[in-house]
Amino acid sequence: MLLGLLPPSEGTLRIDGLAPRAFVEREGVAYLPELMQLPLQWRTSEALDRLATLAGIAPRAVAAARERVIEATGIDEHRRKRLKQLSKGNLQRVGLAASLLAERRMVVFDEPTHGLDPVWTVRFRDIVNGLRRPERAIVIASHNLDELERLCDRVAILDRGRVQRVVSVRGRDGEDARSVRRWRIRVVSGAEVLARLLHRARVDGEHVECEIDLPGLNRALAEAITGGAMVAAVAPIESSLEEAFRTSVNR
Amino acid sequence: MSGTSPLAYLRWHARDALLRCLAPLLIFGAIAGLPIRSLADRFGLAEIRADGELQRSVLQIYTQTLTLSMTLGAVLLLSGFVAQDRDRGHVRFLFAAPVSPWQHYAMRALVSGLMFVAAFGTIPLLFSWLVIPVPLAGVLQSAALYAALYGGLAMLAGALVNRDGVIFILVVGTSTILQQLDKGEMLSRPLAGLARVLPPLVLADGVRSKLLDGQAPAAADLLHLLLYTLAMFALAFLVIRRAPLAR
Repeated sequence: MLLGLLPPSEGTLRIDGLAPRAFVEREGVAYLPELMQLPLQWRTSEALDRLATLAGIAPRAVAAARERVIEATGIDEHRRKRLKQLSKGNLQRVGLAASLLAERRMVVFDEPTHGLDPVWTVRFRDIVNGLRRPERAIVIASHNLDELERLCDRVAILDRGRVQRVVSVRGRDGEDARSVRRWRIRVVSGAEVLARLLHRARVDGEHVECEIDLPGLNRALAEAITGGAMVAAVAPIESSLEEAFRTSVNR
Repeated sequence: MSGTSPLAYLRWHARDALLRCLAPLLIFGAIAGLPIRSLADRFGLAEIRADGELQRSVLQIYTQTLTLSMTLGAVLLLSGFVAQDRDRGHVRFLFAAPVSPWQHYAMRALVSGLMFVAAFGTIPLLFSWLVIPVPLAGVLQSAALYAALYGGLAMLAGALVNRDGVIFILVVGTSTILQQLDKGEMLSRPLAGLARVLPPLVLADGVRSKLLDGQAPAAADLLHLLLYTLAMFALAFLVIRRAPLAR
């Protein structure tokens, strides 16, 4: 829909005041879907040259743009291979390279880390963070809440085709510090001491689970540590985004 | 900021069209080459070049193979690619760029058509050089006519449906049979009406025969073919522009 290739089933969609197709035909969109779909007989460098040409990059600058994105996505060893010879992860990196060819005001990533190995999933986050500009909108559609929490400023939770809630992810620590969350604490020694300081805490071997706000948790931890407890790790049982998602879709 | 010029991708369109344009030449060479070679081996080229029964046989092989490869080549020329791009999801990559899909496909059709005509131009040139002098102009005109008419039909079928090959074959088959029967006034009124609204393929065959014989076809026939072809391309581009491309 954002590329203007499908109409919305109801309502209207505008990008910068224009119908999506008109916007795309004027400015183009950096786009990476879950599955890279290009003619599989194309070679990697040929695909990038073709897409750079379509992107409006001047013929003299195509080679430089191609080399820049090949380096950024680490696909140099695959440049002469046909797309059908590439693994799913490498194909996805070619797609990522294609989306980086031109500077765009709008970037759309649809399940972008699908097929990427852990190293490239982390690298992808660096690339997305490098794309941040005040004048640029980056839209990421994903079921991976951890990924969204790391990358996004705001997350719109969709269920059954409708926006259920928009969650502000960045800056949530200040906003949500006083909200009660569920925590899981690994305590090497003194779990019972800590559990006594927390309301409705449950001890399971080395682990203590509780529901408390952030200031209360810090006070209890400080007191327990002073009393001799040794804390190894503290983590929320579910992230604020997971919690928001669960409550929004009512599952 | 403005979109990419439709001319920017010409080089790649030409590369994509090359194989489709070479296919009819290979068909021509494969079908006509063997019998003509065997005649030349048996009687000698001088005998073939001398005006007589042997030369008429060779020219008949040339014309029949040329028309067959032209029809097959025109069928291959523009069929499949719009529907394939849509069906296989290529449109999402190609048209995330600032390009207009209908202009992109129009340029591809134009480049493919020109290359098809140029490729067919090599057949009489090579045939004249190697075997017997044959005229060039009629072949170029016929190739242009077939590229346009069959190309327009293929483009329209691809714009309308994903299984465009089936529609294309159905329309070509139905048009050819019904229009031949209509010529002999053997059809009922409704079927005769249908024959007349289908693409004028039998009329195109007749015009091509005249062009290859070096005769001028009737202006009304040419106008009919031209308007029908333009209408098919216009409708195809309208559908590409208006209908969802990802379906």
